[in-house]
Amino acid sequence: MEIHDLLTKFDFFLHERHLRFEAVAIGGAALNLLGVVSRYTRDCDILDPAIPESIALASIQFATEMRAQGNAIRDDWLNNGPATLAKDLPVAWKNRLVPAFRGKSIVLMTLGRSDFIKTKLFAFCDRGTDRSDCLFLNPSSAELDDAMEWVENQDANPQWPEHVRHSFADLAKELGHEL
Amino acid sequence: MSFKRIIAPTTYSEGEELTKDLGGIGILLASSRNENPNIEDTLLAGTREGVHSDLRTLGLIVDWLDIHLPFVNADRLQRALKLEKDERLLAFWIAIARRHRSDRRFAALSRKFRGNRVHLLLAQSNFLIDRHGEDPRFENTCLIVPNKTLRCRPADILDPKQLTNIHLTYRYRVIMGPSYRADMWAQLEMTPDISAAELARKCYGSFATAWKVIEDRKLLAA
Repeated sequence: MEIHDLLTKFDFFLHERHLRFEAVAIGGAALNLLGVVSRYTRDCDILDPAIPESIALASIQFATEMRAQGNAIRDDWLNNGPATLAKDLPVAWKNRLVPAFRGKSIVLMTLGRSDFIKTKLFAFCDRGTDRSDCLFLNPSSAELDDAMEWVENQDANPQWPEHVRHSFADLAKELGHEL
Repeated sequence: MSFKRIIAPTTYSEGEELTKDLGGIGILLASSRNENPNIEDTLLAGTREGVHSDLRTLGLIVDWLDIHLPFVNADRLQRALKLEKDERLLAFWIAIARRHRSDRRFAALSRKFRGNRVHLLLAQSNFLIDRHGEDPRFENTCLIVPNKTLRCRPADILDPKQLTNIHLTYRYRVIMGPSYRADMWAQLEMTPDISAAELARKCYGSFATAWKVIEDRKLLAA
């Protein structure tokens, strides 16, 4: 099931229960909603705010209903897993949010492109993950240049900046850029 | 014209089609799923993309194999791998065989590890190993994987009971064991009028097995 379809069904579910949910989503679901096509799992990571108890409970009830209809999703498909990332995001990230999903009861925003690129590039440098997301986002040379200083400053390890530069160079090569 | 056994598809699925195939074997992706995709073809296609760029998919396949390896047709998988030349792809599967060395069906594949280890990540690997250590699932295998690079999310994989409900061939493998014969019985249920040659081709099995399965099925219909 596509994430947009999942959220549309959940939107209807919440609307029936007179519940409302506004949040900032990140991760695969957000990228998918922005039209970045890649292979994501069926969950929705919420950066901010903490998911209210009523919404969390509704999301579990919704998951149960979906599974009964043959659409397997986890109970924690809507989660605050990445919430701790908020403190590490570029300054004033809330001012650069963009719309991701709007229904009758659900409004989801997500990070602006430059912030998304920075977080994905950090993950790529930190764990080697999200390479495919970085490639799908297709940052320009200028966007890579813009992100490099921020990513270099995310860790105090003395070898980190050189590692970042090598990682960026490797990615840039695959994107067809010169850094 | 004599029958020639097929070992692998002409082309493996990619992109969106592969996403649907992965969904079809019980990986919970935000996509629709294909019905009853070939399990080994899907695993091979997924790992081909996974070892080179899509580490998210590779992590999901590692989780899938942890749950469902007993129902993988080991002979089919190993025959198809003999056609592969990609060092990292082969290293991945040898590492999986070593990880699951209690499954004796993969013993020959596991023994292909001669002590030369291969990095999953071409760039970054040494720094990430220093930073996070190795992924414990691949320590003592031929594949060097930094910790945290491959996610571990078994909850994103359908369990065997759930998979039997959506994948007919898997269901037959649970009933009969992961064999060509099981796959052919499943295929016959879907396409009862299929010829023996086509049945053998679809299931990557021998003509003799396909012929026998068709004859055996006639006994039940009589």
